[in-house]
Amino acid sequence: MTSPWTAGQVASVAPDAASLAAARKLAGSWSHAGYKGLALWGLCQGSGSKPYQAVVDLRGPAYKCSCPSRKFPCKHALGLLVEWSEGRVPSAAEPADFAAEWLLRREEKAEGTGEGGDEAPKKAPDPATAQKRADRVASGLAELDLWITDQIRSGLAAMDTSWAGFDAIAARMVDAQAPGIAGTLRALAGTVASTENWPEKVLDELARLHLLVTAHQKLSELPEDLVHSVKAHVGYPVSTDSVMESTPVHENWMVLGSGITEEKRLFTRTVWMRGRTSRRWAMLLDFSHGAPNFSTEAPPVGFLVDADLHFYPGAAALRARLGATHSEPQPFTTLPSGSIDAALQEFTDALAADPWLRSWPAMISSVVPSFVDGAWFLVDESGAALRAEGDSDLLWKLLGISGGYPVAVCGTWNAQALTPISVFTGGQVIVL
Amino acid sequence: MSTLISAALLGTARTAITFEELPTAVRSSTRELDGDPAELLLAAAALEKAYRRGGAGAITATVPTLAPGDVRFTLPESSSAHLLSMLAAKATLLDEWFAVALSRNYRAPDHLVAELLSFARASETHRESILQLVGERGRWLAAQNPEWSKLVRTRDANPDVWRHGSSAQRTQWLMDTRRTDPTLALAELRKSWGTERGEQKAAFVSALAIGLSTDDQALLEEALDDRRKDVRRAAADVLGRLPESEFGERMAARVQEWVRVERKLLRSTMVVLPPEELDGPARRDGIEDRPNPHTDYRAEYVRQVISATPLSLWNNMIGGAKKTLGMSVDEGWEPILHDAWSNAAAAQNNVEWALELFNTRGVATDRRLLPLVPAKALADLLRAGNGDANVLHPGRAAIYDALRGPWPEDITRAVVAQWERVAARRADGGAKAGEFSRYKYVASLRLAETRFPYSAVTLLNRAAERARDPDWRQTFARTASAITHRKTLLEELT
Repeated sequence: MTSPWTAGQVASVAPDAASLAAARKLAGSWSHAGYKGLALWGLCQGSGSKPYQAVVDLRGPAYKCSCPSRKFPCKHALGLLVEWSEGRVPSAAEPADFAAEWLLRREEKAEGTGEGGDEAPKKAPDPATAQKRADRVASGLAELDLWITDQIRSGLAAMDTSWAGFDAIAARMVDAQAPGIAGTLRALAGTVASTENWPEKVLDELARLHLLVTAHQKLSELPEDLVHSVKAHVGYPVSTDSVMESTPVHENWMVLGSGITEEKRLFTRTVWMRGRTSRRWAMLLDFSHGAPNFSTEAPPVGFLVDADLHFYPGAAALRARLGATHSEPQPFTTLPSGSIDAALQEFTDALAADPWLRSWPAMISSVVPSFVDGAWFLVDESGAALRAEGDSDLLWKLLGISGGYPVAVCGTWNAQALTPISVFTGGQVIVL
Repeated sequence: MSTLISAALLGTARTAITFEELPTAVRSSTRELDGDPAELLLAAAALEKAYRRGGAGAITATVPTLAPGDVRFTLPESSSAHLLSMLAAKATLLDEWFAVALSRNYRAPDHLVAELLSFARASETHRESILQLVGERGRWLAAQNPEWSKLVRTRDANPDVWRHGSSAQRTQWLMDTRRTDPTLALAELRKSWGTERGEQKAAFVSALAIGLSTDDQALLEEALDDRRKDVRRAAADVLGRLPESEFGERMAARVQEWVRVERKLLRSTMVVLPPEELDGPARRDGIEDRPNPHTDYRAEYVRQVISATPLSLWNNMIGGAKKTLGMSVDEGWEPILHDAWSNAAAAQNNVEWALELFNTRGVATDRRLLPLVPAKALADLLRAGNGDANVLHPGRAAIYDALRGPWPEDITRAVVAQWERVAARRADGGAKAGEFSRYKYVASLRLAETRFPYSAVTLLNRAAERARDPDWRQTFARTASAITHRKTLLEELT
């Protein structure tokens, strides 16, 4: 069994403070609650006649409830955690019937490798199928290039910049099995609608895609790493097995940040890590449809993980999967230093290897956040600064944490601004 | 990218492209390119973009001043999490929690300061407590955010705001300065009094109620002669809170003229003889005709005069609140006198009179006096009714409200017992079961969460076990858990 969570741990998984307060009000509404190992379950009497069935798997953690709430976890799952943390959930020999099936399914899933969103099927790729796909992509990209050069020939001023205009060509790219490109094109429709200097943005993106098409045409002439990068940007799938078979990188990885984003009910969890000695960056991605119930546990932020990472192949490899871990995670209380210049150089090196990159992680060990005339900056001791951008709540939180004193900031740099992810101060990582 | 973008906008079919204005390094690379003009332009654009992105350098910017230090202890981590959830739920416990947290010298952890300021901006309820909790760091941060800067208006004593500010700013300055330096505020008001615009004067006069002293008399007397009625009224109202003033003496003289104690052999009686008509000085002191269909117009004169008279007068005339209230009065005058004394006790914050009025009037006591009444007296009154069928009679709600926690054991027991009786009636069902729903008792249940002693948890859990009505069972268990939670929350702060 595991020791019950503290109130702080329960609070940390609540989607918002109001949900936690609502969860507390459910005290007295519980029946048939129990726990076994890492599973918790209970029935909660609501206003209806049938009680809600809440189940929590503490790995992940993952939640299931029969209520219709869109909050995740819902107040019932949270309420169950509260009951448990306050010692009101008894231990049980077997999970209740309503919980058993879901828990069993998760058990099976965890024993597999934990498949998520964009993963390819596990079966070995059939060379004939692969060739068929490559041909399909090639013909789709040829068509795309025709469309791009047409726009430039007849002029962007005359371009059909409607959503439907971009969507038509994007849909063609989906058919051509180039989802990466389709995504870029759809995003472009939004850029045109929301940006004043859209012709510049559109030219940038068309030039980027043209370069990608050209590279794809010359795939056989490119170095192997770059071939993988081109394929990744086009949207070729990579099988998990092939990644896990690659030679792992054994390091003490500092977990510097983690966050969950949602787009069209697809939840993406990102974990940023950096090698303590190699300074190499790594990014773990996990996907989940419908609800952020991730099958794998995220390594804890602020901890050092002694582990093997298997990188997805590419000229500027960043995405990785966690392989074998060699010891329990240990908290770290110091950070290796990192200057603005070093972060810019890392970005330039990565961009030189993979010209399609949009951003690259950056860690700057001693900067003062600053808000001047509506713009955000991170300023080092010499007065050199980078623009910062992102959600304004997070930036104000960052400024509040610093109080005008230097802090270490971890984020992603896109050549224009740094989007902070976490801040390190007083020996502690705080995710923004 | 100006030359490339203008060519791209027009279209390569219509215009020739030139690489002349591109950076040298990019221009030399474009020589290796081939293809038709459109492809050339796209390739050159990609090159230029990579060149600019890869070469992006640092800029310069200024840094803010350092936030002043805060020597208080940082809130424990679990308390911080609880605070956010209580704020989101507008929990009843917040008042008590803030009082304990601030008295124990805690401050908010830096990473919560921004979020707490958002709460302070959105709702006024706990604004002052939040601002105290976030302290120096909060003031520093709020000053930089245009949406928050109003929260931390600099309360400096600099009279420039008073001299040149907008009318709202001036009123605010006057009120703030009355709290810190009433003499300065009075002096500034005096200086500009002659030239103030009429519509603002009443608000300024009312502001003198803060930090009121006999020094303010002269200006207030002047305001009694103002042309505007609202100014005169405000001045009379403020003077009524200053018992040791000439205004008070004039009122006392009126009372002595209008009220006589007739001492007889066995008992003395208070005889009230108001004048037929008000004289000029009385009207100047704010006494006016207030038609009331239930009383004689002269009774209203008495009500106003006694409300504004220093209560100390009665000590001299009769001897103490108890004796005065115990004296027999001419028929029909008692309700008017009680009401007037209640007004006076509330305005003059007189604890002795509040208590005596409470002892005399019980549940009918003016609500404004209840906060002045000692807890023991309130509790005794509630105890005296324990024989009643319903200790939670709506008439007593104000007394429960005024009784600070933790409530004495016996009162707690009586309240739980009453709920249990209600729950039993509810379980029995019948036509009137709706009367016994827990929703009819929301006010007392909510009050109990913050006022019950921790020992009530056992009582409530036992009540939950006994309850046959599922709603009430849930309610008992929930209230018990809320009290346990409150205990945890407050203990975290020790």
